[in-house]
Amino acid sequence: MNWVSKGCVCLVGLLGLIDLYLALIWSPPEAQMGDLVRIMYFHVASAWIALISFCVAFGAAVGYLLTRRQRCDMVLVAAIEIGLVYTALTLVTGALWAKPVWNAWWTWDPRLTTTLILWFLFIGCVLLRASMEDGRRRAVVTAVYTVVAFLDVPLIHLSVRLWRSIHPDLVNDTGFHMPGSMAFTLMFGFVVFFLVYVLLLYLRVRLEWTRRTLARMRGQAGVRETLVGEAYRTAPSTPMDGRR
Amino acid sequence: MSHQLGYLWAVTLLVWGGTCLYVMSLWRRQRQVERALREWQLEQASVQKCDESASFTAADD
Amino acid sequence: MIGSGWRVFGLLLINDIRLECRRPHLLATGLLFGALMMFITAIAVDGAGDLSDSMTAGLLWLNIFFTTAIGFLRQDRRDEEYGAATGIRFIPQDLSVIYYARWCSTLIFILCAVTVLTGMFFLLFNRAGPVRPLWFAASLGLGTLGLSGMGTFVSLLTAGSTLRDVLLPMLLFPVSLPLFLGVDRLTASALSGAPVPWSWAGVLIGYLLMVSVLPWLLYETLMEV
Repeated sequence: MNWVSKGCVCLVGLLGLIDLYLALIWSPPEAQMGDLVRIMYFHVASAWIALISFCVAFGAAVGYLLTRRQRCDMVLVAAIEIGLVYTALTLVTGALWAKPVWNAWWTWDPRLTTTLILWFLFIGCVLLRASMEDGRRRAVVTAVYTVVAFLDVPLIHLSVRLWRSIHPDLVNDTGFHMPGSMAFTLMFGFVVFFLVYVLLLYLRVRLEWTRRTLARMRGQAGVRETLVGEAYRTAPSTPMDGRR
Repeated sequence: MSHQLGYLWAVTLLVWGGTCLYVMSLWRRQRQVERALREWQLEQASVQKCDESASFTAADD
Repeated sequence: MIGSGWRVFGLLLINDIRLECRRPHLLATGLLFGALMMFITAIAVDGAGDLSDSMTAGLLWLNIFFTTAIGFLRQDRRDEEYGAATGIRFIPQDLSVIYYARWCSTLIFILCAVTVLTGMFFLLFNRAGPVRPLWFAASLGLGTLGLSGMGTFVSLLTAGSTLRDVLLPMLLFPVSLPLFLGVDRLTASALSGAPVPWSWAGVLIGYLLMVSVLPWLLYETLMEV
């Protein structure tokens, strides 16, 4: 690990500690939920980051289909994987928040259901990618599937919303429905989570880039060896043979 | 109240612990790939050296 | 050019039907598997005739979804066996025509299976016929249309995967969730005679539009690799 990523991790860690202080100590408890409302700062920030990550994945997928650049494919893979991590965190924190508040680990709320479907959609995408050998096909299939899945999400959300809804609407078109100190903590947490996301994206893309460098070099060496082997087989009167 | 706070700290630990675990997994994978890359480069360098010495021997013959 | 596109579409469709008639694997497996699934489901719910309409509609669609997912695997294997999957890429047309022809042929086969499955459903669950038979038929037809469209597309996506048998239903079910919810509600209302849920009909039409337009944009890209 180089000093840049070490420095970034330290900086983000420091901001994370400030976020912890704001979320767990500084912000006030809520009238009905009490201290349990503090889970919101992690739950909502994780959900937003997951959504941003899948938006980035969609952008990268479209970019790959239009330009066929490897860079887009690397960002696509990274964004899907990180999006899955944050979706999982959203689901787990959501269940942990729901239990004491709604007295159930899981409810068939549209946002919960959509988030779980989103997780299933993209875990399938990761499995699909991992189970393919051909690199170019793998990249195209991942990009196409990401586009289809992403465009399907609004329809999924609409249909699940028609089905049933009990989720609290803390943030909607009319603004934040909470005191200023809570809104500040929420937004600060979001910024910290976003910085963590950028760092994770950088680390994951770097890993993918190194992996591909290794694969490319191995591939080139393989081709070189094959060509040399072919040359020996197809040219029997080389100087070496003459000497033999 | 204290029960709620304990629960909160557990949730917090889960979120940040989960993120830290993911970062560590990325580092671990990065180190593995970099090691494989270095080993492969060394291997290639030694193969090249062998080739060169073989061609020198052939030229001497 | 458009005329020749229709010609290619017709030829591909007739070819699919002819192949299926020669060796009716897809139909046979679809029918048998569907009937078995329906039988097992009826046993699992204790042959209940007292289930609510929404529950029975859900069970019917669950069986249709599983039967369909099995059918897609079978149809693609046939193409691989005959080597047609490679040859078909060279047609002098927009390659999305293959998707529409495949969608149409799959729809015909699945509709046959769905008809038998629905018959078994009424028989085994001891149910009276739907209060609105036309709506019931329309919801079955539209649901099968959407499912066969998305299934055809997903089956091409998973074509090069080593985990194909598992991944096809795994990808198909989450992607077709709006369709599932929509047809489930429409079928339930047709069974009970409750007012038609127009919002669900809207969701269904939106889904069908997506299934019709997206592959037209993306199918050729997929066939290139």
